[in-house]
Amino acid sequence: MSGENDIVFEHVYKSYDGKNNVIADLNLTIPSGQRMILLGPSGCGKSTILRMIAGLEKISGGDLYMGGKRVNDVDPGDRNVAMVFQNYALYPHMTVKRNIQFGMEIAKVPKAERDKQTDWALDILNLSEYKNRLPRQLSGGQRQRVALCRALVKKAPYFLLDEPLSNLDAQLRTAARAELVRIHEVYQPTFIYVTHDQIEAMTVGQRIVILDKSIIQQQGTPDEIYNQPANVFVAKFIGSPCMNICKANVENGKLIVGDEAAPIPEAWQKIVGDRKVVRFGIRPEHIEFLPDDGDFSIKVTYTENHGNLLCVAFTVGENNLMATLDPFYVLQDNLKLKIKWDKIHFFDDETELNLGYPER
Amino acid sequence: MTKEERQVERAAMREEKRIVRHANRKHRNAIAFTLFLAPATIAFLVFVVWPVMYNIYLSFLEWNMVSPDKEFVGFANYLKIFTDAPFLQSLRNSGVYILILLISCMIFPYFISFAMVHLVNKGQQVYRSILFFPSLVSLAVCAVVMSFVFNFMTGPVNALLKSVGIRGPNWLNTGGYILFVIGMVATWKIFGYNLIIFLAAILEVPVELIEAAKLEKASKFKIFWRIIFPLTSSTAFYVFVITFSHALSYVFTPISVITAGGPNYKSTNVVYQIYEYAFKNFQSGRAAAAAIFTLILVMFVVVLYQALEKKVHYEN
Repeated sequence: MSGENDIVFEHVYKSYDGKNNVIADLNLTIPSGQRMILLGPSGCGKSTILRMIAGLEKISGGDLYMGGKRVNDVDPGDRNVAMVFQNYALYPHMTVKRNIQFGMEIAKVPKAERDKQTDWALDILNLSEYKNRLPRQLSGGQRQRVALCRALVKKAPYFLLDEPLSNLDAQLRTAARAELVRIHEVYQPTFIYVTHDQIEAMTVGQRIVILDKSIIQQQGTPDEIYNQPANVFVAKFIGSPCMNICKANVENGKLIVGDEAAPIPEAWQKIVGDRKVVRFGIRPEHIEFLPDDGDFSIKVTYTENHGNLLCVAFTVGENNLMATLDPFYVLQDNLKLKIKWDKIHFFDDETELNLGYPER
Repeated sequence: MTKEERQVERAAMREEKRIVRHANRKHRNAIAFTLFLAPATIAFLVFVVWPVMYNIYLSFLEWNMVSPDKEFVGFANYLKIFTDAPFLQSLRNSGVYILILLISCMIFPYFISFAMVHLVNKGQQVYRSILFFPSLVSLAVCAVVMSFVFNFMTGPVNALLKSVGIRGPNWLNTGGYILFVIGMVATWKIFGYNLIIFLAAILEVPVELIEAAKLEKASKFKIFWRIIFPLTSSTAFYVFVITFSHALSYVFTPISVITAGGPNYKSTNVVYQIYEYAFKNFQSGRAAAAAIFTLILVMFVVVLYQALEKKVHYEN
């Protein structure tokens, strides 16, 4: 799977004060030409990773390779990366056109070529009519697109995006996500995209790396991450509302919550093994209630109608859970939670790691 | 009168009352505004407008400030100052002082503050304190110290020059050199303050802009010239204005302390010359004329400023 523009981190450390590691022993390969998302809560080190790739942060230990070359001590200007900053970093005193051309002017690209490239990029992002405006005369969405234009004209093999959509409102964000995918298709650079927004990660990403506390929790395709979360953190981090995680005892092939028990199917019994305590996870959309016939009694604490779905908060034993149901669902009194065994995840109670899945 | 007509009439009366009330309120507001403005306006009228007016009046008189006789002489005072060698010399010297201080107190601190922010990695605070510290010393003290430092016979500057085989000039008594020494005294006072202003402005430039430029392989000079300079131009403009006015007024103390304008008017400037006309020679008419002429000169520069200001980048 190795491509010519892979980015490879080998045992990379980063520390600002020489004592505490912001990044510790990072081993990561970012494959060439793909849209790779670095996803995690704030302070997880994802931006630091991006800035190390750009060369804006020095690497404290380990090696970083870009396109097969060790780049630890290469200047940012020599790394051939284009970057879109969170606040766009447009030069406020330059027009849109000058902003886009700045890099080419520094690189002494002839004027005719500069203009051609600028028009090309402006055209892709439908900004041609704003060419002579100053950044302050543009809306947030337009500024963000100018920043993309500026990165685009560089035609760099690496395209770094540091939370590029976080300053846009929700509607613009949806449009911008599609735009980003479209831009990637233009010449297929290696996208490295930092975000804390799981929707962006799932929709823009071809591969996702999930980080927490400077440690990679899981990497994989959006599908893998969603359907086979590697541990409880990933399970709860991806999906909204987040996955319900319940603590349960296992006895004689039965899953026990409170004083009720449900028999564990044979395929799952092998996976649970001889554990006495496990955690199981169910996504809110996979929860099913059956009158009388379910596995565990529930107690509804509150409901919220979102219009397109009905959120129901309830308890099973000591566990608080959330279900998303059809908005017209009628909650009866005698409902019970029915475990859908093909939609369930098991985690070890201590390590919080996923126990795996039966063959389907 | 029908019911409708009565209604219309009542509405008209209400409207009229409303207008009167509104007018009363406006009247009351006007009084309040006047009262709020009064302290500043009175101070401005008494301490700025009246002296300027009185000064204009004085410039047309021949008067020694004590005699009861004031003789109206028309433009004679203006003609006299333009044929007075010391005054012309003081104009030339003023130009030199302005030039020296623009270089030492505007261009130098501009680059030094850029270097402190973007080239120096450690000890920014220490440099800042050291460079600002001299501004705290009074001009008179500094002038006395400098007159020791540049003393022809015993000063450390000449001792240093001697140690490398150069015979130092008589700094305090030679035209040209003395301008430099007095310029340095004023620099001592102004430099640190301007540096802090530039530092603040350069620190205000978002670091992402610099990083974006670094990714484009822009050199430090390009970063300064293409990004820092345009974005701090409003500050540079402010510093230019205050340095210009300091260059006229801040050299007064060192001139007075070190040379009293000498040797042979080689170190005087317009402000000192006005002082000399008025309070040493008691030629109040000439002093007033010189002051008015200086005012006109400065106003001319202000107009130039305003033309320049249009090119300055202001945030928002």
